[in-house]
Amino acid sequence: MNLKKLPEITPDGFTGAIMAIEGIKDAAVLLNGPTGCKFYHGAVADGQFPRVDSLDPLYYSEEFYFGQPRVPATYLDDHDYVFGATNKLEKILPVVAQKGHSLVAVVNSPGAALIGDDLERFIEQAGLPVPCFAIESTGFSDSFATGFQIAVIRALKLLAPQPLEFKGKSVNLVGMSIYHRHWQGSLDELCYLLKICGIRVVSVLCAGSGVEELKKLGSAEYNLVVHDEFADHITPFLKERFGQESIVSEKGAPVGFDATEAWIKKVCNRVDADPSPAQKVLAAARKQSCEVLSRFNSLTGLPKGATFAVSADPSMALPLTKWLYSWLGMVPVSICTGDTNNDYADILKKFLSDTGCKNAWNMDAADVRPDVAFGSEIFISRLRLCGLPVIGIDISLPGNGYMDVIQKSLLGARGALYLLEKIINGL
Amino acid sequence: MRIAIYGKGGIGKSTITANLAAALADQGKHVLQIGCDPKHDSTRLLLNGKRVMTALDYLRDVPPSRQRLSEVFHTGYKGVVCAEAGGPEPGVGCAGRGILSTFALFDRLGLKTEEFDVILYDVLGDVVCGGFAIPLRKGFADIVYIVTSEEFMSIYAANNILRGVKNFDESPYRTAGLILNSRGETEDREKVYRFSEAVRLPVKHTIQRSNLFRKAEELNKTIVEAFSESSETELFQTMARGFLDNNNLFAAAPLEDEALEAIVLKGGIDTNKKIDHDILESNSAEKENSGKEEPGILSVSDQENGLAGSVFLSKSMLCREPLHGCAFTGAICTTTQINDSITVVHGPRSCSHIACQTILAGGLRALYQKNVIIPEQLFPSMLSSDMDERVVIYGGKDDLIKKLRQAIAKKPQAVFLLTTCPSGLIGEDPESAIRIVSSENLGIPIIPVTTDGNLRGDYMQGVLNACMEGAGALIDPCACQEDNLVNVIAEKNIANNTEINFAVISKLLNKLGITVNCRFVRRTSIKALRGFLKGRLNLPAFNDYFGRVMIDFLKERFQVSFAQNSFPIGFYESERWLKEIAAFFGKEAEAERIIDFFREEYRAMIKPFRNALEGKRIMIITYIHDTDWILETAFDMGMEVAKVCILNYSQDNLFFTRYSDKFEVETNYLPQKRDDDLRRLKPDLLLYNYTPQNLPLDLHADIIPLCPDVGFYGGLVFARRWATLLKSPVKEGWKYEFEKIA
Repeated sequence: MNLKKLPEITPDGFTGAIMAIEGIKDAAVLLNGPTGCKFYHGAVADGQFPRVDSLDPLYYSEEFYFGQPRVPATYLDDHDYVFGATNKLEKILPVVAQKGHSLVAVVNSPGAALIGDDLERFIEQAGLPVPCFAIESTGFSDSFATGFQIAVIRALKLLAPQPLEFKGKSVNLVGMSIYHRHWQGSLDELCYLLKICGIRVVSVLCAGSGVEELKKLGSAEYNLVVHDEFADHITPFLKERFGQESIVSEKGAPVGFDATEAWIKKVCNRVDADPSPAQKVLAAARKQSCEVLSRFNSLTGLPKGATFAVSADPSMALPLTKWLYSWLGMVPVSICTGDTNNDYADILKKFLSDTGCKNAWNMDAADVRPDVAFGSEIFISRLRLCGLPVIGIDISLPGNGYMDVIQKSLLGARGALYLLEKIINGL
Repeated sequence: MRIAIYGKGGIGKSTITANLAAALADQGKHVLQIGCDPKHDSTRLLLNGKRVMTALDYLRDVPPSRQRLSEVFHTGYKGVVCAEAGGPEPGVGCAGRGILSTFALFDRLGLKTEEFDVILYDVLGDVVCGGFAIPLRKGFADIVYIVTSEEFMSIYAANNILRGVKNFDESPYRTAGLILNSRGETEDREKVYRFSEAVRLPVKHTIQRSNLFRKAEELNKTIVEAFSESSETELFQTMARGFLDNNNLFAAAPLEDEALEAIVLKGGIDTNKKIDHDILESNSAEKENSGKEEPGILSVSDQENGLAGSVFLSKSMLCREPLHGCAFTGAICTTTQINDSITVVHGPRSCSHIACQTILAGGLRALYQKNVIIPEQLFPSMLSSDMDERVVIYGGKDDLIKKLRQAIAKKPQAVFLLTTCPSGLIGEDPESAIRIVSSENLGIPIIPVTTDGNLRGDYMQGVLNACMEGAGALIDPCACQEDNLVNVIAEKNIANNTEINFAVISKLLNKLGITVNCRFVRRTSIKALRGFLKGRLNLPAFNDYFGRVMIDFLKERFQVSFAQNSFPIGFYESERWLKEIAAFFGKEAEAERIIDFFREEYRAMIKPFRNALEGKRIMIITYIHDTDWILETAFDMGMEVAKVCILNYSQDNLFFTRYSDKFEVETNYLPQKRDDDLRRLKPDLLLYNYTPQNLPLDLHADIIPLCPDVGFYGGLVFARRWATLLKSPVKEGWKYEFEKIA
C-alpha cells in the first residue's frame, strides 16, 4: 500500500468564503458553527492577516472567541442542531458588533447550513449598528475560489458601492486573497508597478482593502485581474453593477518577467498609461538575474536542464512553467492544477505538448523525481519524505510555519527575483 | 419483535399504535412504545393524558453524567413503557436530527431492546429525511406497517414511505402491509385497494370510523382500556394477535408518481399494461450480504455487540461545557496514527481539510522545528468522500461505497470510517455501506468510529472513541503476555514533544531490558494493536482525564495491569517511576544502578544553574495542576517560591503538591488578582502558560509548557532557561517602543 499516493486534500468553498471576509481589513466573520470549524479558520486568518499587535489569550477568553481574536463562533452542538441556535445567535451578534468592525458576515458552517435557521431574521431583529449579512451556505465541497467569490459578491451587494466618476487612471485589483502565499508582498509589488506607471489601485477584492475602499470601487476605470480563478464570477458582477470592463492577461498572473510585462502592458494599454517605468524595473530585474545566472551557470551549468514540478492553480502554473522553461531552461516533469480547469489549463497543456513535455501534465511528482518542486509545504514535504532530495519552493498554503518578517513577493519583478534566488541557492 | 408504524401526520397512527400497545399488554407482552413525532403525543393515551419529559428536552436540560434511562421511560397502561422523542419548535432546528439524537441517547444510556417482547415505533411519515428513517435501519424495526386513509395525500405519503423502506430494504423484506384507518363509510376505499394491489401489499386491517375513539380520548385512555368489551377493542386484540403470529413480509414496491395518480385517482389497473414501479434504483440497492460472515472479519454486528458506542465521555461532554473541537477531528488525529490503515471521511471536503491541517501542523512543526520526521502526520492516510450539495439532499451511500472501495483497493490492513456533522445531520447510515463493501472484501476490516462531526462530542471524545472503538476493536483478546514488554497509553498526538519524550522513556526502559510493544494510539500498526495484550504492563503517558479514561477502558475490557505513575518529569518522579517498573519486572538492582548514575550527573549539572538562581523568588500562575516538577527544579536551585496560583481548567481539578507547606497556594485563581499579587510579592520571575502582557511592574516572565519534557533532566531544561533569562534585561527595548506606539 502506498499511502503517499493519496490525494492532497485542499480547502473548499467554506474556507474560501471565510478568507474573503477576513481579507477585508475591518470586517469580521461570525461563524454559526462548531468550534471544530472555528479554530482552524481563526488561526489561518490571524496568521495570514494579523490585525492586533499582541496576542494575549485572556483578552479573547470571553464566550464565542475561545482565546482567538478572529472568527468568533456560536459553538454549535447537538442540541443546537435539534432546537436551533436562536439563543446563541441573539447573544453573539451584539458582542461581535461592538468590536469596532465595519462589516460583519454571519457564515454558516456546512452543518449549520443544513438546519436552515433564518439568519437574516436574527440579523434584522438584532438592530445592529454595523452592516451585517448572512451567508447561509458556502456550498459543500465546492472549490475554494467559488466560496471566495460568493462571499465577495454578497459583501459587495450589502455595501452597495455606487458607480462614481472615474478619477484618472485607476483599477480595482480582483482575484487576490489572503490565502495566497505571500499575498501582502505580492500586492505591494503589483501596486508599486502600477503606481510608477501612473495607475492608481482603488481597492483590492478582497485582500487587505477596508470597507471604505470597497465602497469606492465604483470610481475605478477597470477591474484588473490577478488570479482569474478568483475573479471569473466577480468581474461579471462588477460589470453589471458599474459597467466596469475587466482586464485579464492571457498569460495568466504576473509571474516571471514575461507574464508580468504582458500584464503591465495590457493594463497600461487599456488605461492609456505609459508602461515604460515598470518595463525599466523589469529590465533591471532581468539584468540582475542575468548577472547572477551567468556566474551560477558558468560554474554549474544550471539551472538549465534542472527538472521541476508545479502544483498550483492554472493562473499561477501557466506563467511559472513558461518562465522556468523559457528564461531558465528548466524542464517541466510534473504539472498539476488540481480540479481547476480553465483556459489557462488548456494553454498550459498545449505548451507542454509543444515543448515535448506532454507527459508532465498531471504526472505524479513522486514518480518523476523533480529537482525543484513548487507547491504547498505539504506537497514539498511529501516528496522529500518519499526520499527525493527535492528543492522545495512554497508558493501556496499551507506553509511550514516560517514567519516572514520581510514581505516576499511571488509576483512581478521582485517575485521573479525571489523565485530565482530560491532556485539557484537550492540547486 | 420490533414494529415501525408509519403514516401521514394526523392519520391516526398514534391512536392505533397506542391501542395496539395496550392490546399487546393485555396479552401479557412487555411492550415499549417510542413516539417519533415532534408533537410528542404518541403515548399520551397509554399514560392517561400525562405529558411527559421528552427525550430531547431531557437531553438538553440534564447533564450527561446525571442522565438515566428511567427518567425518559415512563410506565403506562399494564406496564407498557412509553418514550417520546419530542422535537424543536416549528420553524427552527431539525426534528429529524432530533430522532437521531434520541436513539443515540437511548443507546448511550444502555437501552436493552431484548428485554421487551414488542417494541413499537410510531413514526411521522410526511418527512422523508434520514432522521425519520432511523427506525428503518438495520437493528431497528423488523416489521413495517403503514397506516393510510382513503384520501389521496395519505396514500401518496404511504407510497413515499415505501420508497424509504425500499432504500433501506435488506433481505428478508420487512413490509407487512397497510392498515386502513377509514374516514367513513362514504369514502372510496377502492383507491386504497387499487394501491394495495399495485404495490403488492395487503390491507391487513381496516379500522372503521367510530365515536368511541373520541370518547376514549376524552377519558385520556385508549379504547382498549376504556371500552374493553367493544368491537373496536376486539379488532385491536385481533390485530395484536396478528402482529405476533402472522407477519408475512413483502418487498417494498413503490409506484412512480405518475403511476400512483393513474391508479389511485383515475381508477382501475390496466391489466394489459405493466405497472410502473418506482425504478429509481440506486446503485446501492445492491443486495447487502445478510448471510454468513467469514471468520476473522470484524463485522458491523460484531462491533455492535462487542464494541458498542462509547460510554466513556470526555470531561466537556460530562459537564456540558462548550465543545472544544469536534469528535471527528479528535478521532482522525488518532486513527491516522495507525500505519497500514486508511481513514475514510464521509463529509464535505472542508471537514477533511480542517482535520488534515490539524494533523499536518504537528508534523510540519516537528519536521522544521525539531527535525523529527513523523510520517503519520505528514502523510495522514485519509480519503474524503467530498460530500456535495447532491449528497446532502439525496443521501450519499453510493458515494461512500465508492470511496470505501477506493480505500480497499489500496490494500490497507484496516479501514476506519469517520463521519462529519453534515453526515450525521442528514441521517446517513454508513454501516449499511460498510456491510456492502465488507461483503466484497473479506479480510480487510472496515471499522466505524462514532463521530458525526461534533454531534457525538468534542475533540477529546473523538480521541476516546477512536481509541476504544477503532484501535480497541483490533486488539486480539487471545494474544499472550510476553516478558519484558510494555505498552504505552494515552500519549498526546498534538503535543510538540511527544516523540522526544517517547525516545527518553524508551531509552530508560531499554536500560532495564524492557521494550515497548505497542503505543496506544500513537505511531503504531495494525499488527502491534492486534498484539497489544503481549505487553505485560501498561504505562500511561499522562494521568490526566484522558489517561484515566483509557486506563478504565482497558482495565474493564481486557483486565490489563497499569503502572500507577505516568511519564515522569524531573528527578523525583523519574526515580519513583523507574523503581515502580523495575519492581514489577523484578529488576530493582538494575534500577538502582541507573538511578545512581543519573543522580551523579544531575548533581553535577545543577551546580552552575544553582549559582545563578539561588535566593531568587518565583511566582507561578498556571492551568497545570501538577506543578511539582517545576517546584522540584526551583527548590533544587535554592529558589524561593512566593506563590502558586492554579487557574480553573475544565479537564481536571486535582491540584496536589508534596511541598504544601513551603509556599502560598491559591486554586481556582482569578486572573484579575494577578497584579495585586505581583505588587505584594515582587517575584524575580513570573511563570505563566504564555507570556503575559501589561504587567504592573517590571519583572522577568517566562512560559511553562502544558506538556513538559520527561525524564530525569526534564526540569533542568527550565533551570538553564531561567538562569539565562535572569541575566537578560528585565525589559527589552522593543517593549519600550511598543508602549510608545500602542
